[in-house]
Amino acid sequence: MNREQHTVVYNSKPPSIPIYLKSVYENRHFLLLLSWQEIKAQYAQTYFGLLWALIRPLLLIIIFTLVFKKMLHVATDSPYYLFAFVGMISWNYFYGISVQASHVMQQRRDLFRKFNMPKLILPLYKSCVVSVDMLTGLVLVMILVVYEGLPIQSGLFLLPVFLIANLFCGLMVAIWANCLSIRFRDINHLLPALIGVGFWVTPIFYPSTMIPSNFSYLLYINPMAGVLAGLRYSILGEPFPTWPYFVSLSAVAMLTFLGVWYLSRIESEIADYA
Amino acid sequence: MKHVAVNIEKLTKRYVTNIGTSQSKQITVLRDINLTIKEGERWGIIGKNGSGKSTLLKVLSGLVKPSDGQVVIKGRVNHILNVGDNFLPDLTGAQNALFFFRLNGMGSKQAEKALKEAASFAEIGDFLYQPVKTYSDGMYLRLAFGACLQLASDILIVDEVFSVGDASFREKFQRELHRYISRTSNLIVVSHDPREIISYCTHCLWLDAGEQKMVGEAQEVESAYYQEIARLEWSRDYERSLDEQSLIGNNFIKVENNLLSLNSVTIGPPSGFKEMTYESGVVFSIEIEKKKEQVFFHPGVHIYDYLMNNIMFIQPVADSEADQQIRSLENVVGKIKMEIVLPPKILSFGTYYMEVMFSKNTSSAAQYIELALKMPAKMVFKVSKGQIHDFSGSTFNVFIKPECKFHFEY
Repeated sequence: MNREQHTVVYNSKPPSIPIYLKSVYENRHFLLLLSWQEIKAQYAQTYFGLLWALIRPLLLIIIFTLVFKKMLHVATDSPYYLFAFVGMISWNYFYGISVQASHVMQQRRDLFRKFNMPKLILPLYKSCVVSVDMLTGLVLVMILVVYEGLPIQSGLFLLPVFLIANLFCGLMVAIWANCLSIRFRDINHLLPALIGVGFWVTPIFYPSTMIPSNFSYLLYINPMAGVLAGLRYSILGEPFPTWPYFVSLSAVAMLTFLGVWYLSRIESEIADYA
Repeated sequence: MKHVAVNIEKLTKRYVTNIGTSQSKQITVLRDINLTIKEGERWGIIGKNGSGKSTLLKVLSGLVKPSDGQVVIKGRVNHILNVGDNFLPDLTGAQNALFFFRLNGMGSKQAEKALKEAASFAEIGDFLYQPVKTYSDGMYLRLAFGACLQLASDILIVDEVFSVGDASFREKFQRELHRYISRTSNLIVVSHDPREIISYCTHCLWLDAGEQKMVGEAQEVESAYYQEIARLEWSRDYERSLDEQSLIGNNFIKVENNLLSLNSVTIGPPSGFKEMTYESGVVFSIEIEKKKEQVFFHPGVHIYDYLMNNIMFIQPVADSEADQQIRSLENVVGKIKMEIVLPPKILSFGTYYMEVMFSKNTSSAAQYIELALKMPAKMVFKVSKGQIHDFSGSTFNVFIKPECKFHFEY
């Protein structure tokens, strides 16, 4: 065995972004293994086991059907219960990533006490775990779209783009929360409260048209409003999101990359203080 | 020429305590460490608690990044640090161990094989398929250590594992660790116990408050470390600060009163030997000055191990020839030289602490002993490895190794 092959150098210099991303890629086996382990651990010793990943969105949609199809009616272009359900799974996706991954570096510090890995892996694997719920939810929505006899939208090919936007919204919050909470632990308490407010100002259960036009900036500064508009466009055929939505979505993309850059610079501190 | 396996250059590690609060302040845990480890060398790191030993291992394992300087490592590293930390309580032992192997880059077949080995080491039977939260501490440790020992590596990094678990596990783990070490090119181990260092290591780094105090051959560093411990410990006893010179060689801490003065104590090999080894034995040469008549003094020599456990006491046996001689000196005043010979093949190699004391007897009928001098004379001495051949390396906690007679019948 040639030992030169396994040469590593540790110094105080932070890695450049390409090298950092390369090391994340080289450690991608952590991503899959950690996600799978967490999913297994989540459902370990339960009667239904992995079926829970399916049962939870199923229960959600049953409730939505009962409440919003039979009882409540809000004027929307598409069936209201589907409109609300898409809003709900998308919000849950964002909420799950941003809240569950926001303290993952404190929660799983055992991992970097044992393994030398880029810390970006941690919020990424949490996102993978949360994505399972999102994906099963999407499958259920598509089944119902067909069942309701709605046309398959030509905008469907843009669905992955809006899903990635949804993921980035969560990741951005999670990465920054992890970075900042080394110094400011208060973030762990502040964040769920802020996101709780976000729930009400985001058009999840109500159409964005219900917001008076002089308050529409509230929609445009809220990237999740853009994500919801995009998802409803590509699944339910609602109108394509207007251009101001894309300003905040681009800001999210930039802040996410900025977060990755910042994380790569303070990684060693995280190992020391998380 | 041997290749370099680890190169540490000007390594410094700083932490900030109470980060994010107004009381935060920077502390330097490691300062300017320089070390080169060549292939095949086994290094021990000793030092007091808080001297930076464990931090150094974490830096070498890549778990903690240097604040300054750099570390170059050539070869695969396996570190036995924070063992079992990443086991999830709700998953079974098998799931956790397999997962651990996969995270370390094993394929699934290889991991299955490693699991079998780890399970047979851990001896946890059917518990392997129970969630690890149901394990006893011992089972948990056995499985976690067993898993660590399945990873192939060129450099093994171990932190104080010798004190883990119950006695039977410790012995088993040590045996397994020895086997592992014999297949591994480099070992870097931290220990409080200098005896472990000399039995496992060829070289030693001594850290003191984050700085390297001494680097060199294991036995040399070990010996110096003992002297330092003795110096600190005995300075307290004598209520004055001692320097290193007063503890080894022909120097000693002089003690005296109106009955007698202890003029010199010399520890050395018997004539014909260059140094004290297991096979040479040890000669204690003591010179006293007796100041009064009608009193006689019995010398006593205590020998202590690294933990200041008294492992041997040498004194004249009652009514022996030596005892008779001492009594016959009852009315002599002036200098008396005495030699106490510890026969060869009794005291194993290592560094020992020694005390010489005198008891006072005023009549030959006296039974009880009173110390003639308030404080004993204390010294450090070293018995080298010499030509000693051992069948096993795991005898580091053995001090007395008498040569015994064996009879065989068949």
